[in-house]
Amino acid sequence: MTEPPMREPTFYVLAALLRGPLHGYAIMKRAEEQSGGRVKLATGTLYTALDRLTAEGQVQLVSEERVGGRVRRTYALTERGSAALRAEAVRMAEAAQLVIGQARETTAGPLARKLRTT
Amino acid sequence: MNQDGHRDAGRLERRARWLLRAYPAGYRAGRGDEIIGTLLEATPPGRDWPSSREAVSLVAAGLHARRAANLRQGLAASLRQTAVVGAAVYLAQLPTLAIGAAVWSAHRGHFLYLWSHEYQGAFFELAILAIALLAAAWRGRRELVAAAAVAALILAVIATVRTQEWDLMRVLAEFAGPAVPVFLVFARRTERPPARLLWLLLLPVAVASAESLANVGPALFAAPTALTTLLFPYASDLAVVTVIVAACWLATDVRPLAGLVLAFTVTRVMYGFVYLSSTGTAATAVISGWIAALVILAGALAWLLRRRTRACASTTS
Repeated sequence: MTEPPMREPTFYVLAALLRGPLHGYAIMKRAEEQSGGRVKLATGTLYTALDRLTAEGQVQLVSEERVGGRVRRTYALTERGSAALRAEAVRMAEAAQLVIGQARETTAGPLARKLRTT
Repeated sequence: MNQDGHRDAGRLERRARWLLRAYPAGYRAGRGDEIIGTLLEATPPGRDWPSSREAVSLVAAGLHARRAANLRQGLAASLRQTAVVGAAVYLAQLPTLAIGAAVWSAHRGHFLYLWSHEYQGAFFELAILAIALLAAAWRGRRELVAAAAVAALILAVIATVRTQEWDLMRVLAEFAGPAVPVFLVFARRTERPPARLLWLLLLPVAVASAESLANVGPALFAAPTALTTLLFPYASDLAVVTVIVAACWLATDVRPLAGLVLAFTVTRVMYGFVYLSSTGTAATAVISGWIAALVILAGALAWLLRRRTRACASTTS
């Protein structure tokens, strides 16, 4: 059975954890940075995603501390999450290659010219 | 400035906690503080309201969590709870009749007469026993349900023998008759309906009160039962509100609406038996129509619950 494609917020939540464990707000900030400001996670969306990813074993809780009287939990990518993220990245790269490769083969077109110069 | 900042943060937190009520209580206890902490960090200083985007996201995520919690319990438990909720709403009409009778009597200036007359007194004692029965059923205490039902039967028999009036037996048979067997078969101590569904029991009271206000008191026993008045024009506004609330609830939990439909349908069937047959109208057609509707609705609800349970199983696997 093939996995359904990963949703964009999920992708950026997992990608945010690639460089190490983070707490909720840090995940939101890094996802926004890494997506060039496109993925702005709202708090509710973030925790729904974290619940699901934790249940699926892609993310795990690594530590709990108290900050200003409130619990702050830190989450990390698991091996399973890392593999899922990598599989999604490969899928996206293959999809991109399909278009970019064909654009290079054609002689005309602004996209091909732009791609050749970069 | 610093003080203002603190005040804003306090207000923001209060409002955010209010929005957090969209989540189930158990979830809030475990995750609430963490979510609030993240929301406060994510909100720019000086704001005392969460942004509309954050508010919508919190409520949507809360409803999502509620739905997940409801689906986790499985189809059989959902159907048992639906049956208990439906029977409880149905039985709640008995104490409601007592309230209707009290309003009616008070309006005519002989409120004290209610307790002085033996037959009326027995009716109110029956209503109190029905409340005890409801409480026992809601808590899943089947032995207490049986005890309250037996006590109500003894009370009704004694009152009937003494006064030679059959109305009390008829009220007991009409309301406790369908509800008690359902409680005895389906109530479980381990899967009580959640406390937040208790307001459904107030629905017959609300409808009867609307009727009383509009019509200055239903005539004791001669009036159609509380839920049937949903069909009458003056109760229609309330009915519309109820349907909207129930439809919104359906998005997260199918049990309340299913329970209401069951209670309403049983009411119509019993109404057909008790009132229409005695007045000699086309009772058979009405009764068979409602029984058919009951079967169709029960099938539709079972299908809906099964589909939702499957959807849950596929997302968790």
